[in-house]
Amino acid sequence: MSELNPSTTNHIVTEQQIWDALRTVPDPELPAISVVDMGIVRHIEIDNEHTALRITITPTFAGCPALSQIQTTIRECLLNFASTVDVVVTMEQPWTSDMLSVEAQEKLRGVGIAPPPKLGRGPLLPMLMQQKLTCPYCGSQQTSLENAFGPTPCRAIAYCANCHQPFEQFKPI
Amino acid sequence: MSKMTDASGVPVQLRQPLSNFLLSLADDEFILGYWDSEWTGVAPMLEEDVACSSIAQDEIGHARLFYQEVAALTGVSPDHIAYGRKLEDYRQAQLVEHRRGNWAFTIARRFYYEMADQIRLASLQDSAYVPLAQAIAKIQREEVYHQMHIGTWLQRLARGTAEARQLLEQALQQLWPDALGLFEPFAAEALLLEAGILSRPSSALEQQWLTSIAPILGQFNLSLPLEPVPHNSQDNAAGEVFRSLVPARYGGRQGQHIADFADLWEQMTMVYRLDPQASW
Repeated sequence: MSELNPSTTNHIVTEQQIWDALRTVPDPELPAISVVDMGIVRHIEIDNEHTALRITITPTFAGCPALSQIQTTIRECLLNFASTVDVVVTMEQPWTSDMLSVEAQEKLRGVGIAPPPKLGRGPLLPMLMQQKLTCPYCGSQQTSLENAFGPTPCRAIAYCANCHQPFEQFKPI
Repeated sequence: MSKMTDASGVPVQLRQPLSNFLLSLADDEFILGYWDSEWTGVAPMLEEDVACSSIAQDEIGHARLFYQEVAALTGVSPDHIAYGRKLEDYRQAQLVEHRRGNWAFTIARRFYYEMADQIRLASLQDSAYVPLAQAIAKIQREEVYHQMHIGTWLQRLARGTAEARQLLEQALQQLWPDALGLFEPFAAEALLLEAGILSRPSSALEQQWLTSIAPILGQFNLSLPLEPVPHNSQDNAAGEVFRSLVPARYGGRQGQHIADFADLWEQMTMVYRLDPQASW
């Protein structure tokens, strides 16, 4: 595909351009949120000739089935900027739900998923079990956790007794 | 003890023992994940369909991480490690080999396994093999949800109907020697301990496991072939020590497997054996 990109050799690629481009790459399981807002992009490296990019990402969950699809989508998107794009995966400093951007939290609410509470360095479980979840539809805290497991590894299922809506909770992890 | 930051930093004499150990971790998760995924669609309630599927997916994902580490050490592809081995080259404990059984059997097995896994993971978080320690840090956070899930269900069955309780007791008894088999010492364990890849011998992990499950089962009046060892005066500070009255069933870590696993192996490796190049 690189021969279709005459821009490759003529332009100097900046890191900012790459970040901006990655903001258009959606998470396949939560299309409202980009991989950047998801907090899974760790480093962007550009070689001296501006022809090769190396992007380091980290999975939200170790068994994330979308990971190889994310790698492919990032690669395809960035081939507009360089002739070689490597997308590598690291487990250094594991992803936590605190790495979701403020924008991501807003967008989650918009699609009916309550954002995770901030964890800090605290333990995980009390966050999900003891803290009242806020319904993303009506804002009520008359809610209950129905299942700590949901349609994807990162989501739990809850119910709002006020507006009678089931909703999802992005798990604190 | 020096840290090994990647596969190339592992001394030659440690490569085989390390990959063998990683295979044990991976195969335990892989095989248990396979069996538990069979609850998808047929679990006692819809929530458990979702939970079992999600937990199974996590476990198989963890296995993939460990297979990638083995791949880095051996140069064999992770897919080939997962599906291309002969039956006797798998290293899981026999506990995870039984087909899924009834719901109480699944819960009893998971209870034993999750409690052991928690202790095993904690013992590896400062491993001198850095990629392992990093993978563990990620996995530990996910396992918290599995532990919560199994704690809830153990209580539910133990305090549920007479039939639920009876089935749970039966399964706990039946699986006991296999559960102890999770702590079968690894090949060349002494080498791995000396290198700081493992922090504690399997026997110490087993004792820690016994000490952690005994009060939980005691709380529900569930008895096991287990007795406290009388203290001698110097040991008072060490807390209670337990001893099993029934011997452990070993062999899984050396490649001896039961018939249920042979059936599963046939099934799960079938496509790969037919066409190792297939992609989907």
